Amino acid sequence: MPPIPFSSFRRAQLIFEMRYSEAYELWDRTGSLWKSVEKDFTKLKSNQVGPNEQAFIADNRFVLTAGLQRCNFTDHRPTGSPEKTIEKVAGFANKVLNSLNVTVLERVGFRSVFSVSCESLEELREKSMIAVHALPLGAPFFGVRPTSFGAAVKIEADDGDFGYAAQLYPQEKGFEFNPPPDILIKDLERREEKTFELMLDVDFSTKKPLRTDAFDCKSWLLSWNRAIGRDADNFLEYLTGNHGRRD
Amino acid sequence: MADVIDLGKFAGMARTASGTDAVNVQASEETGSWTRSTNISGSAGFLSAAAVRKLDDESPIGKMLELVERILKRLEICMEHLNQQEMFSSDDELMACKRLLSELLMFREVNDSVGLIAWTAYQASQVEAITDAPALPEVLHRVLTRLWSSPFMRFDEACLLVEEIEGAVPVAPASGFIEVSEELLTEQT
Repeated sequence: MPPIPFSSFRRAQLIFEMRYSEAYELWDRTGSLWKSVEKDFTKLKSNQVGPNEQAFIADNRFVLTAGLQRCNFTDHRPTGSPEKTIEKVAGFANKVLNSLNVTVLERVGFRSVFSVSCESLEELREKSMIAVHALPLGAPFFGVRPTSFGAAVKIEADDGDFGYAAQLYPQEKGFEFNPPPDILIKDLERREEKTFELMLDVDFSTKKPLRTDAFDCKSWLLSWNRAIGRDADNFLEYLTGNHGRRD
Repeated sequence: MADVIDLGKFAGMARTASGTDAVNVQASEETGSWTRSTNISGSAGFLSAAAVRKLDDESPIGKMLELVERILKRLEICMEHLNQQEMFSSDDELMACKRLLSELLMFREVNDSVGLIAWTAYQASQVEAITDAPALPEVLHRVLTRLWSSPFMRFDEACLLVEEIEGAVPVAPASGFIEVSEELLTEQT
């Protein structure tokens, strides 16, 4: 078992993307496409709309984009079972493929981001050091004698058909809210918050083009999702440099 | 008339310390998600549906494609015997195919095209002897190869393939066809 097991990570984001060559039908069928997509969500609101690409926010959670050369589906709050999100993704993907008459996909990608929350920057750095086989603290390079440092790793691999890019890295995020002085509302004050998270980011993709009549979005995404559940702990252990090396 | 102020405009990400911006706020989808460049050449070979078995050999589609491969191998042997006028051996292989085709029916819910082709292929394989339909192995091989490479074909394409199978079998539909097809239709509704 790795020092930070996969079960301690929570799913933070789920992203699906299909790339195809120019789908000119987008210019003719955008309205009907989004009208049909709207039926699958409680609320669909346009975000950035242009002739070559449209982005919509659905149910204050999903971002859907359809463009001339690609479409995306992002779940920013992937709580609950991923199967439900995958159902939504598959519904959207099928509608895009049918509406735009896409016959060949140049690339299909499925990216899952997981995170472990930390209380402080120190805890985050400590966790990243544990999770990644890192060098002893304090080795001076480039004129810097560190008093603290964080470790990150990125691995890219492919077998000619499929590939993945897996990353483990510490992430510090700052959020700030700066209302302008002309908004005079009581209790509305400037706010700034920070979050510290250890991120595990697994980005699967196809490495060859694929005919759409050989592609079933739901089956593929479920398979990728199961692959994560099956191998994530082994992968995390592999990063520590100790065990779990897979031939 | 009240003014609505979108406070979201004044909120944002102050900084991201490391790595990707993939977890950024919703509006920045363009920069957030897919930063890695790819070099996929359109001239390269296509991925087949069977590639999904590399990811997960327990998926229904993976199991179905594995079964289709087994049927195709049997059909190839059957055709070889047929070419050499070894009718008994050829018939034995067709008998073996019948059992596998009945297994293929279990995957009819993968999609309508799979269901239609699986049912028609199973029905066609119920001929008394290979000599009644000598063209059947070749037609089945062609149709199932198409099913293997493109299981998510459009339904009208599947109908054309089914017509090919029906053209190779000069016999009446197997008994029970109407009852089973009605049951399938009831399930779908």
